[in-house]
Amino acid sequence: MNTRTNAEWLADLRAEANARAMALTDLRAIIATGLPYALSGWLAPSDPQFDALAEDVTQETLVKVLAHLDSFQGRSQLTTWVQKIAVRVALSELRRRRWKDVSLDSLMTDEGEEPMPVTQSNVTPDPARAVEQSEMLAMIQRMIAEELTEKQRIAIVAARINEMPIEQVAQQMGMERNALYKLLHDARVRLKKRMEREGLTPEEVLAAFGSG
Amino acid sequence: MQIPIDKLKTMVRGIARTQEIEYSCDDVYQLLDEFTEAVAQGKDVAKLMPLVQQHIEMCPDCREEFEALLRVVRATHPGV
Repeated sequence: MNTRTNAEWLADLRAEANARAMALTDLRAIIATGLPYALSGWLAPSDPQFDALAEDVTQETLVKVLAHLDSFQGRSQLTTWVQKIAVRVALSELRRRRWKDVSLDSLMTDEGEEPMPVTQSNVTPDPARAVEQSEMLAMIQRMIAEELTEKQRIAIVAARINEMPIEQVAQQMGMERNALYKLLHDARVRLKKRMEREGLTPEEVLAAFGSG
Repeated sequence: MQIPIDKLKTMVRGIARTQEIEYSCDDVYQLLDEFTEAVAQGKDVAKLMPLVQQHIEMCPDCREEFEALLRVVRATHPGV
């Protein structure tokens, strides 16, 4: 089944009628073989939703493969490229299902006048250390308030604090995933530069709150 | 919205590893099949494809996709 070279796969997938149909049948089987591994920890093959999801993913993957065949650059096995597409399609759908009832608004509801206060429940009982920690927290909160845009704060709260997939955050903010990553990257760059200006190193912050 | 201490530390670690120029999710997706095969072959990807490696450490969505693809490649292409 997986004995074609990349060139043979491409020739068959671009061929008419029989050769193409056979190649698609083989790819379908290859995707089906891979999916249980791809979805390990996400959805077990014994789950009643598995078969329907696998069928949808396979179908959508094959459509994408045919549509984007010209973009395959031959830097991996073609089957790995196909599996990559199947993984993206499958995980996007599972993320969508898991997070469909969570809105960004619901994550931001208890945001007070102070943007993103840091919880102090875990701070140390050692008084000297507690002072150091609360000073550092105040500084970090000030940096977040002064350096980041509203959009960046929303994205950080959703993606970094609540661990919502950035794909879902992006969707709810009406952006592409790629653009959301850039927004978060820009936020990190701003905070890093501000920390440098303040003479505060990440190592100092981590040390103040203990390792681990 | 409050930041729990452990999340704050994760954020600070992310800031520490931030580079001025980073690959985007689209850049990484383009290279993910090649990168994953290289990992499966035991190549030193941190040296060969450092920007992909760095993005995967920073981006949970891309990391999940890489890990899923690696499971598939290891299980179905033992020779890769």
